[in-house]
Amino acid sequence: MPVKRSPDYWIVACSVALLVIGIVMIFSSSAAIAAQRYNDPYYFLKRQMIWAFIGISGMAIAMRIDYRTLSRYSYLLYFMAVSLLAVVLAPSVGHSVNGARRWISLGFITFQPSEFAKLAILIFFAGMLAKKEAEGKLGDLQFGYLPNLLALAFVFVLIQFQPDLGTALIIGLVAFFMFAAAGVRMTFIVGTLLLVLPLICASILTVNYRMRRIMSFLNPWEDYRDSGYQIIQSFVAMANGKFFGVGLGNSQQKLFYLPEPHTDFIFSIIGEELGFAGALLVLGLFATLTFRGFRVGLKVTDRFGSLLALGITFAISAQAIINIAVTLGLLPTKGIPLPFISLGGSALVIWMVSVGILTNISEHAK
Amino acid sequence: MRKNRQTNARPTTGRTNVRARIVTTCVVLAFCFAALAARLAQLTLFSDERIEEFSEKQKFGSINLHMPRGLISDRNMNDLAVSIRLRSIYANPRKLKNYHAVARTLAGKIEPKSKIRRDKLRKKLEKRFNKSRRKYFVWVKRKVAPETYISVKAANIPGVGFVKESRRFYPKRDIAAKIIGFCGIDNQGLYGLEYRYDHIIHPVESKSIVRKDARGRPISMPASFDIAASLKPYDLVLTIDERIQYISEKALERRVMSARAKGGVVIVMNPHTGEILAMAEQPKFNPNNYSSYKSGSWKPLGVSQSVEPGSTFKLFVAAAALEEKMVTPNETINCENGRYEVGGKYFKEAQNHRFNKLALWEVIAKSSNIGAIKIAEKLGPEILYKHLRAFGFGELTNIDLPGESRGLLRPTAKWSLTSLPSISFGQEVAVTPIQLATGISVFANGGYLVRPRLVKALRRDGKVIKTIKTEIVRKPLRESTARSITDMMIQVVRNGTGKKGAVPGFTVAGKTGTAQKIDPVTRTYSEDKFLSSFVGFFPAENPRLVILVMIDEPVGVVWGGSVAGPVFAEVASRSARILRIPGAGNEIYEIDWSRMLKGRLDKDKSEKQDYRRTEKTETGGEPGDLVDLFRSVIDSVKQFI
Repeated sequence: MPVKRSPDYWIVACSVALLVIGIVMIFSSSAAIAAQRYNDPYYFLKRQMIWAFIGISGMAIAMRIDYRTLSRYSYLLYFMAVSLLAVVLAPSVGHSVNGARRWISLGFITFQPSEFAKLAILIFFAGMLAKKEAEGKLGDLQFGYLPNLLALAFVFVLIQFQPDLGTALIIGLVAFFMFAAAGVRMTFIVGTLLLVLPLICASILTVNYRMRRIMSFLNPWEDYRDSGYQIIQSFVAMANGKFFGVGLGNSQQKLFYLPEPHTDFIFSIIGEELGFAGALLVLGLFATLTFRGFRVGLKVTDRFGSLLALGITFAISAQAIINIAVTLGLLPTKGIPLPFISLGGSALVIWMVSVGILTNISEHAK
Repeated sequence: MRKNRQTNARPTTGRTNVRARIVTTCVVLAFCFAALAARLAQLTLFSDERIEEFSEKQKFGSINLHMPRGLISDRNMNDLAVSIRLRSIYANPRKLKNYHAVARTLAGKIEPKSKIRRDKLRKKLEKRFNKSRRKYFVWVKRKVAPETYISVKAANIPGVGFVKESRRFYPKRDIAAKIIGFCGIDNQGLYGLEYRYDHIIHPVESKSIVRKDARGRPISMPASFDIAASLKPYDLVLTIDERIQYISEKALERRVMSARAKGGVVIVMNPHTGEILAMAEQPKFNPNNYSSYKSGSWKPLGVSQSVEPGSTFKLFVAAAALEEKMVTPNETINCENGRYEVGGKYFKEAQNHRFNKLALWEVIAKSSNIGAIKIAEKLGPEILYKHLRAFGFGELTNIDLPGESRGLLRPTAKWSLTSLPSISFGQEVAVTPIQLATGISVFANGGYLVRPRLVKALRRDGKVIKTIKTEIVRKPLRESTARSITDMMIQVVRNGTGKKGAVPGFTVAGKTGTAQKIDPVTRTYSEDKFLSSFVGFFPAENPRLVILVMIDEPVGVVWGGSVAGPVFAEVASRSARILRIPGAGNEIYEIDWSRMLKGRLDKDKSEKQDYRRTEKTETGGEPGDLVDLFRSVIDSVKQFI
């Protein structure tokens, strides 16, 4: 049996640092909007701080629970995730914002099931894949690969109804990475992707706003007043930032120029207020988190732990990379928040719990 | 141990194979992070001209600091013109979902009472919205009453917004309106002192460049704000005394009504300083609603109307003769028994009097035309002309009110044979009331021609910044001559034509005038149209006030002494009490403004028809409704000041 060692403090330190930066930047970027909308500049800050407290508690708890017990609940978690994703679609329960039904309102707080689903499905796949491998069925198409694929497809369909392409994309990416990391034959994976590709293309081409987003990504100046507006404002924010930034709280772009400065485009405000240095620090923290996570995944001796650690790490870094790439104009606008930093309570809690699990796994790395 | 188990279990997917995949992924991610860092550096550290330019363009805007106009107050700091903050309603036609519905709602809120006006407004708005469908901004209604703003705001119509604007408000309504004038919708002075002193009381175009947020709101007060504050407009303190202005207007109004006259002017002036304490006129107008009056009715007749003065002019002829020492006050003048021929024309006395021999002072007291002609003849055209010019006739007094007329005093080269005699008793010469009052002041102040003026001081933030000084233009008379004329004027009131101008408790110096007006049709002197006047000052021993009264075209009794004299007496006696001029009782005349204003408002409601007011409806409001409006804003005025 693997010996218990000290946890990977790099991971804890990085994630807590990101969380703190997040809280500061949420206040800085949302105060004007909050004052405007809710007559209270601290509106978002207060909420995010409550969530951060819950998140840190969740992380502390997750760090103390042996991750191996999670494998026992992988089916249950999958079932819960699917149920919540189904429930959110019910008009009486689901809370819709801007036409997307993604939230469950519990009165005082809203909860986003797809965030929970992300982690639950991760654990589920880690469990499934480890089990299939142990059973020697991983190379088997019918009994090894297809059940996983079907489980994934089902979640996909549910998320599509919300719709929430961003989360679906992350879940898809993470799932296929885990398939690959588990040792599923590349022919299966590539084959599946080739089959799915037309579907993805169709879903982009048929939904008007997705197409527009892609077009405006290719040339934001074409329509700088409308579809290219957000990305150009993000460029302006970065350009304002220079090396050390305009200083905390001094952002121009958060004053209604840049939409969503406290959620999807918070990185632009970091770039503006803290400059290249501050933004690079954030990038560095994510990179460190990624490499430490991969190190844990490579070093941990049991299959479930390894896959879970890799999945969590990959999910964090993939989401961070996509979000930042969007703000830098390298990818079309997606609607994917920046882990730990963007406003969003349920996401923050889930990320902190995930990091807690990752830390727990690191205690078992050799 | 694990490794063995794994290789045994899954020979096809060896541990090394999986590890390679994971490491590859890790490297790909590392590459991604590196790419992001590079892109970040590019965007933050290297400026892109297009982005910079775009950023600059959107970042700055100009804001109007919205400084209200300076106050105008009377000499005792009673407000005559104030600025109040009102909201203006605008619409963004692009955001209006259904402009018909919006026009209907707005019309209902803005004109809740009158259906006719509501429908009219609705149609106007529909037309305006329809015409500017592609625009982002159209006015709905500017400077609405506070309750209209509240009710429109409560309707919460998308695409309809408000801006704060300041609006000029004249709390005393038509009191001194002709002097003060009024402002246009953009607060630019259009008439009267508002126009004349626009550069002083109009705020400097205080637009300054500021950083703004995406919605165009300024982020911080600009650095230039302090400068802007120092450019705050001045407040104007007038020489007008609100109380004297009021009693003058009242006295004049009553007389014009009772004499069924066309109009009239009263000027009350300090002869020593040139300060105008009151300039009352009939007809008048309410500057709060100037657009519903004929444009001609805005003119201050006191400075713009040139009239043939008639007998009051004899004073200046007599003064010239005394100054030249060609006559003495007691010298006898042969008045030719009421008939005198000059240049083939027979001149007669008024009322067909027949005077034989009169002393010079009697010529003035009895207002003999022929006596005046005789005096003028002694002077000759050149000397008379020189003296009349010295009194300021035919030239501007340079009073600080726009629209001043020079009057008419032709050079002697253009005189005919009958010009000299005609001029001697005030025909063939035209003067403005202010010229006449200023001329009379020369007798009252010991021989000095002063510049008449309406502004006493400029103030800012409650402190007097500049006091306007008395300007002496020249000295046309010796003091002794002025004194002699004063003595003659005293006789006018004691024993002559001006008995009705007497004021109990005072010695009054005065002169009457009843000028025939030129009939515009026949171009000859009219038999029934007169300009009746009374000019004078008191107390004669130590003159404090010069008062001029002119009644234009009275019906019935037309004699200046009878028509204008009593107005003089009333204004003089009441002013004496207000100013506590020694000789009068000590009771202080106070105007209860609230009661007065209320009375006026009620009166306005009952008798809407004001003579010479035109029914002009295209501007929208009728005075009656504005009464309500202004009544409602009186409170906000009080708050504002």
